[in-house]
Parts: sequence; C-alpha cells; structure tokens
Amino acid sequence: MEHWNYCLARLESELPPQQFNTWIRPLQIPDAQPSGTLQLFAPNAFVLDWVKTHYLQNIESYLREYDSEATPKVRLEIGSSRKAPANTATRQDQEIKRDNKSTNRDSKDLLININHSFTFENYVEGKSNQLARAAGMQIGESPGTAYNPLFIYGGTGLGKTHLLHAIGNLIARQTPHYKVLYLHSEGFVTEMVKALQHNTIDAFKQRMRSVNALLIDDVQFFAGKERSQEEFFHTFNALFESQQQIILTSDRFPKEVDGLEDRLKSRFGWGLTVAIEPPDLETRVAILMNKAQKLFAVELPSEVAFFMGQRVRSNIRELEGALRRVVANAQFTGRPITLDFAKEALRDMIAAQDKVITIENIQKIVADYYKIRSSDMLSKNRSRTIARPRQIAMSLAKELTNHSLPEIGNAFGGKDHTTVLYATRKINELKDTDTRIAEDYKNLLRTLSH
Amino acid sequence: MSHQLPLAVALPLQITLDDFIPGENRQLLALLKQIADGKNNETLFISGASGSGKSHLLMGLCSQAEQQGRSCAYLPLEQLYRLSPELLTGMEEMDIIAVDDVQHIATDPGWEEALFVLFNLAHEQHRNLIFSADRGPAHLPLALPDLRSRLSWGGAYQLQTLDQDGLMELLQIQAQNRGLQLKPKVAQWLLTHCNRSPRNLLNLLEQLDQAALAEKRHKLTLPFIRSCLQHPPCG
Repeated sequence: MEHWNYCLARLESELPPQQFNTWIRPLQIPDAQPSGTLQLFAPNAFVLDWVKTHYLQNIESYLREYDSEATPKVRLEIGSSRKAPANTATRQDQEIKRDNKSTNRDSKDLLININHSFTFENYVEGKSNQLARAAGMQIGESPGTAYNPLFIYGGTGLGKTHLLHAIGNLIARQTPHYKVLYLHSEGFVTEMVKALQHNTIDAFKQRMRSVNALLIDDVQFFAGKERSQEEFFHTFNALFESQQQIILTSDRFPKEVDGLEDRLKSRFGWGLTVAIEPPDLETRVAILMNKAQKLFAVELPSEVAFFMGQRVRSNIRELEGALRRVVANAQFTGRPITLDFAKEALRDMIAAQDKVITIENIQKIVADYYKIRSSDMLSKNRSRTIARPRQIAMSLAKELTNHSLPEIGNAFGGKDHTTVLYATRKINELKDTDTRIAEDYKNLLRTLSH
Repeated sequence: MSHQLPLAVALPLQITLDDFIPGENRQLLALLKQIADGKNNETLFISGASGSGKSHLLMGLCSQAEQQGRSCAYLPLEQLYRLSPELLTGMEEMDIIAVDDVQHIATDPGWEEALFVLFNLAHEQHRNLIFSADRGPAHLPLALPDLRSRLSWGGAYQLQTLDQDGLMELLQIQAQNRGLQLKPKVAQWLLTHCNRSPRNLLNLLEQLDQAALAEKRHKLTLPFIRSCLQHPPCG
C-alpha cells in the first residue's frame, strides 16, 4: 500500500495533471494484495493497455526506487476493487451480481434491474400518458394475459422508463413468484457480445428465456445490430409462445424504427401499441410539485410550479433539471422559493444553456439593434450612425469576452488596439452623459448575457 | 550574459478546488466540494468558455474526492476522442465520473452512444456524473436526443468569468506561487493587452517564469514582460 502511495505521489508530480487524472487515478488497488505483487485494477482493456504501454515502466522504476530489495511485481488486470476481478469463467455471474447490486433488489433474485423508486404511485397521470398508464396497470395486475407485447413509444424524457419500472414493480407485488427482467436494449447487446466472447451464449439464451416478464427499453438502439436482432427475435418468439409478458419502449412507432428487421417490426405491433405524448402544462405542474416533494421534501408554491412549467416545455428530465437548479439555489442562499426567486434561478439556468458569447455574435446583435448591416461593423465608415454602434460593440466585446484589445481590433476589420481602447473609454464616458447610450448599452448587455 | 538553462521540471501542479478563485461561482464551487466529500449525489453540467477553468474544477474535484477515499475517472474528451469510445467501458464502477469538454464528441455516433450507455449505467448505480462543455446541452450539436435529455437532467451551471479584481487576484497568487514579483500596474498591463482567459494568463506566467529563471530575475517589470511577449504576441 505504501509503495503504491509513493508511486502515486511520484507520478502526480511528474505527469501533466490531465494525464495523471485520466490514466492513473482510475487505477484501483484491492485491499488484499497477494504477497510480492502489486495488483492494480483498470476499468477496461483500453485503459489497461494504455497504462501498460505508457506508464508501466515508470511505475516499476518508482517501485524499485521505494524499495530496491523487495520490489513487488506489478500485475495489471481488468476489474474494480468493488468486486473480484472479472475473469472469463465467472463473467456471467458477475454480470448478474452487478445487476442485483445496482438495484437493491429483493432477496429472491426474481426482480432484476427493477428500480424500486419508480412506481405507479409516483407516476403523475395526465392526458398525455393516460392510455399508456392504464394499459401498464392492467398488465401489472395480470401479466401475460392482457396485451402482449405492450409497445410504448414517445420522445426522450417523457417517462417511458419510469412506466416500465412501475409495471415491473406492480407485477412483483401481484405475482410475487414471477421473474421480471429489465434491460436497456444496449444492455442486451452488451451482455450478448460478452456471452459470445466468453462462449457462454447458451447461458445467455437461457437467462433471457427463463423470465416471466421481459422489459426492454429503447428498442431503437437495436438498429443496425443484426446479430442482436436475431437473438432478440428468438427470445421474443420463445417468450411469446409460452405466454410470458413482453414490454417494449421506443422513441417512435414500431414500423418507423429505422434499421430494424421487418419481422421484428411486425411482431412489435402484435399486441397493443400506445403513445406517450409530451405532458401538457397542468401535468408538468403536477410533476414538478410531486418531484419537489419526493426528491427534496420541498413544498413548491403552485405559482412557482406554473411559472416553471410554462418555461420548460421539452421533457420531464429538463423539468427535473430546472427544479434541481431552483432548489440548489435556495439551499445555497437560504432564501425561500418565491416566484421572483425562481425567475432569477431559472435565468441562470437558461443562461447556462446558452452559447458562449463571441465577438461575432456581439457584432450581429448590435448591428440588428441599430438596424445596420453586420459588415458595417468591420468597415472603415466613420459616420456617427455606424461608428457609434461599432464602438459600443467593441466595448461590449471588451466587457463580455476574454479577448485582448489587439484581438478585438482584429475582429473589427483589422483595427489597431488603440482604436478599441479609445472606443471603450468613449463609451464609458457617454454612458454617464448620454441617457440614450446608457439605455442602449444596458439593453444590449441584457440581450447578450441572458 | 550567459543564460541559465531552465530545468525541464514543471511545478508540482496539483490542481485542487481550494485554489480555484471562485468569483461569482461560489455556489458551484460549494456544490463540487460537497460532491467530492460524498455529501451530494447531484449530476451537474458546467458550461463555460474555453480556458475559463472547467478542467481545473473537474480535476480539482477528482483530487479532493480521492483524498476522501473515493474513486474517480477524469475523462478529457478533447484528447480522448481521438482514441476509442471503448475506453468508457466499466467507468461506471467509479464513484465520480468527470467528463470534460463534451462538445468534442458531439455528432460522433460511436462516442455519443458510449457516453449514453455510461450515463445510464452510472445513473442506475447512483454515481456522481459531472459534465462540462463550451455550451449548454440544449445547444450541443448532438445527434442522439436521448443523450441530450440525460445531460439536461442535472443542475446546469454556467461558469461566470472572473471580473478584473478576480483576474488580478489570480495573477498575484500564481506569480507568488512561482516566486515572482508582479506589481499591480504590470498585472494591469497584462490584463489590457493579453487575452484574459485564465488558461492564457497561466500560460503567460509560465512562459515568463521560464524566461525569468533563465535571466535569474524575480521581478516581472514591464520592459521585461514586453521583451518576452513580443514574439509571439501574448495570446
């Protein structure tokens, strides 16, 4: 342990911080070290090879430096100190274990990857998801008999995954002996690829076909992956024939998913296909108040929820992001969440969404504001109607960007830095004496920074 | 006069959250310290201009977190995107995953999908995910809407640039760390004539430090700075 700490200290002082942070920091050492060996875990094969090629020599020489008598031998492996190193024989078990660990699942190993915190109780119902919710509840009550498969489609961040987990949890409550497996389609692909690599494809097939309910999220990610589609096709058939429940989600209607085989597309449409639409304002408000309560134990005043619901329309994840920002600001400043407070916090958040201010956009916005052409900004025209806006733009560029005076001058058609200096001084002076200029400057500043 | 050749030994540049000058970013800095100490499991998205300190924050976060015994991965995509998205595999095992400069992988389907998968796995396991980019998730030219919506899930923070006083403080502290004397008037000159991004200012100081070492001097005078920075011009 001490020898590795010594190594780390040496590497940290020798390597550029970026390299140290990227390649050395993720290396982990297990608590129990085999004697005479320094075992290091890398998160994946890529990092392992990179470290071997670029840093192993240094590591070995620092180890010798620390103790030339009993220098341990370095053993690099893929793995994590959270678990035993993954080796081929136990890979499949590892995967299953990891699934279990990630979801605090129940003791019987029947609910795999189901997140207990996504339930129907906290799934806010609205016009946009009514049908999907009703179908999901019916399946949860009596899996395998109502609709098979259930295909739920809708844009990203509208609550498809929440609904899947909620159905899984309901199945577990109603039919406790049922084995339920949730997998993102990428997870299906990854597990299958690993099974092929490690010659455990039969175990993989067996695992997929032994469930009573299979919940596959985002099937559009099967697109273009022919081997996975084929395997999934067989899994689908096996489950369907033995009347096990299949529930799928996608970002679009089954027939419209590009890159999927026709036989899969047609099967996906065999049962019930329901859409989830973006939530309407009332539903967004209800979601916000529900999440505020559930995630932060905060009572969100309804006028604040309405204001936020009006401003953030795209999807529920963004709504949650906005809520997090408002609550974080409140916790940091110790101020109550009022309408004004929320407006201010959201302004910061929306600013964080914005592009970084560049000289080009300053020139464009100033030109638009004064109804002159953008090219006038770069010209040598000295008439007041052109020159004044140009000076204002230079002054804004100095205030809002990190560019040096020579750089700013250059961006304005190759002017000297003293011209920029003169412009900023002139505008500062005018802001005190000319209310028109002061007003214009303020407006432009507001447009640019928010 | 004979010039002493500067040794090729860089400063022991341990980047920490404590030496980040907060300016108007106090809330963000406080949040990152909570995350480092395991007291907050927020997902964050930090946007800000290139050279404004995003990498400093992410590396500082990793450094502080590791002192608390937490495992970290720092993933600067500006460098890594030339390698392979495979290097993200398994990173969800880390307590903290700091992904720097996301804009570099936008429009690359392989990388976008790998980052999407990493996000899902890490999120399921309640890891801390911290992202940075030169703009907010809404404006990144991402091809995968699913990735965009996930990047919008956490709190979004825009790194506020340091004002004149903050930049003066930065220059003074960094000059002191290098054993250099920098009078306010001279610092002022640098701030007027050079690009004021913190990264550029630190690079300039590094350059001046090397030149000063070669001339065995400690005082950064205006004529000295001018002579050093004439070629190439300062940023």
